[in-house]
Amino acid sequence: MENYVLHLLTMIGIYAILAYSMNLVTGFGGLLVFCLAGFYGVGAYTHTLLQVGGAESRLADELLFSAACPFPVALLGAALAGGGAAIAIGVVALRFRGDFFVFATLGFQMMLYTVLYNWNELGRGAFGIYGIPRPVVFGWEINQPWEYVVLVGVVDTMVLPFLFLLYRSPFGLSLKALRDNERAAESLGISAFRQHLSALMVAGAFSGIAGGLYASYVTYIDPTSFGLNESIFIVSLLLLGGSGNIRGPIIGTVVMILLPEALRFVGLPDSFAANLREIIYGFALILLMYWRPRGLAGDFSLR
Amino acid sequence: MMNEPALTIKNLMVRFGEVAVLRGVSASLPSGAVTAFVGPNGAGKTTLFHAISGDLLPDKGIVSLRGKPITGMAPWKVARNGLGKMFQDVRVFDSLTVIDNVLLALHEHEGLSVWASLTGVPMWRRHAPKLLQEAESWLEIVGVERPYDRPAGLLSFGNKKLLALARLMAGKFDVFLLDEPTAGVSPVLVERIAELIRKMANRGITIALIEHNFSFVTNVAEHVYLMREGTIQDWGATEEVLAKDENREILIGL
Ligand SMILES: Nc1ncnc2c1ncn2[C@@H]1O[C@H](COP(=O)(O)OP(=O)(O)OP(=O)(O)O)[C@@H](O)[C@H]1O
Ligand SMILES: [Mg+2]
Repeated sequence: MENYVLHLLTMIGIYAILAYSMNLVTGFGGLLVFCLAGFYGVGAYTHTLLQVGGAESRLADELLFSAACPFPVALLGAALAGGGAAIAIGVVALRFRGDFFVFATLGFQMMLYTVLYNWNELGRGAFGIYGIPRPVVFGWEINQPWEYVVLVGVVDTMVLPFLFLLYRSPFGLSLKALRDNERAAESLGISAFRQHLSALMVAGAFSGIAGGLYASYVTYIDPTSFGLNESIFIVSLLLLGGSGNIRGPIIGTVVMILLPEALRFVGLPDSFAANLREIIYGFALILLMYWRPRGLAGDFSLR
Repeated sequence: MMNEPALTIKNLMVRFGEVAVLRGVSASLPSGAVTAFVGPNGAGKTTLFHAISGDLLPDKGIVSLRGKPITGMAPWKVARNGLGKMFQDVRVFDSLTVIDNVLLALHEHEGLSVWASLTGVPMWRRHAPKLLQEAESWLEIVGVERPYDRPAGLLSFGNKKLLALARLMAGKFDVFLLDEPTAGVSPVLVERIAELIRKMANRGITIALIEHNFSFVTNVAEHVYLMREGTIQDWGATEEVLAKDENREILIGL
């Protein structure tokens, strides 16, 4: 039971990074993106390939490369890869406006997934990668559930303040202005393309970090964790909690992660519960958009 | 008296599909003066301003700002070259507070990047009180209704226009394009806007404005261009152009 609570805390810590990253782009920038799970996946795979390796690793032969990097280096690599992927995708997707932009991100999400799924030489495709090394941070070997909670907590306290700072910074102000009225913001000398691309890059880099944490926590990854479903889940964290501020995303994250667990305790048979959960999710989101388009605690309506 | 022009437009043409909305418009804005563009609805005045500011790509023609060609430049680049604009439909940032609307215009453009925002934290934190003060003084000069910490979307239409004006004045622009600054505004505010425009011109800012209110035009503008069906019908000193019978007929007797 105790381990179970620690597990939920770890997951909340990882998803909080994703929700706050999404918040920068969507809540502040006003851009709905459906490819955050792609960046998350790029981070997870990069981190894994950078970590795997060393003398006793048999897995290394089956991967595109393996670098046996220390954990912090691998996490940094995950951030760079996530940010890089976001720039590459953003440069193309930001050529489209409005709904077309949203569809472009959807397309890129599907492409990233397909690449991870089919490129066997990269990371064993659909078979996934198992036995990802447990993190060692400056000599501290992380094994126990509580140790993961500490690790994720430390990483969160290191990275989230950057996002909170950006929310309040002149950069954040320019994003909000673009969200309100893009042409008026441009008439003040603000480039929508540059600001939006920067926001995507930051979100991609931070999602990459979340991916690295996830990979080294579950020690097994396959492409299904980073598909369109996952992107929709991240969007719904924000839809539910509300965006454009600091409290919304964390509320959404906590509720969305605890809700299915709460349903589990109602005592439904497992096979039935899983489906019911999906239905309740969908239903809750629809009701929410109808009654509270700003989410539970948002400053800004995504509508 | 015609000073050296701050902005010149040569033979500008814009068509929407089959319809030619601007059919070769040429004009120039004398530096530090107020120039009005008048004409019946649909004459192409707003389209002309869009083509100047980069919001719309002209099919033909040249726009130059202090001798530098800006035709086809992105709107944000045109703005960084010193051309500021007030839209016909105002466009304040509704969810930002009144004061944030002005603050945004006060920030240096370089300071708005992610990099500058993260590395320059002590700087933007330290500058914040000074910028706030400056923003507040612009709002006071223009006379936007208090309080300044509520969302701009809550302002009345007239006050939104004032805010848009304050935002322009706070930015580092030396040419203003104002698309109907007094439309839908109470007579008291019209008088104040006229005063502000004269004040700006006295500080050396070049102003072009579109107006249907002729007493206002006579009041603030030295020069006027009369547009009709995408062409310049007449131009010259305000009094002269507005005094001609055939011009009055175009303007009033549609
Ligand atoms: N995006 C567009 N597509 C097609 N036609 C357009 C477009 N924008 C404007 N027009 C047409 O171009 C003509 C000129 O419009 P414009 O807005 O420039 O007129 P205006 O002189 O500003 O009029 P008003 O005094 O009513 O503001 C109008 O006939 C208008 O219908
Ligand atoms: Mg118009």
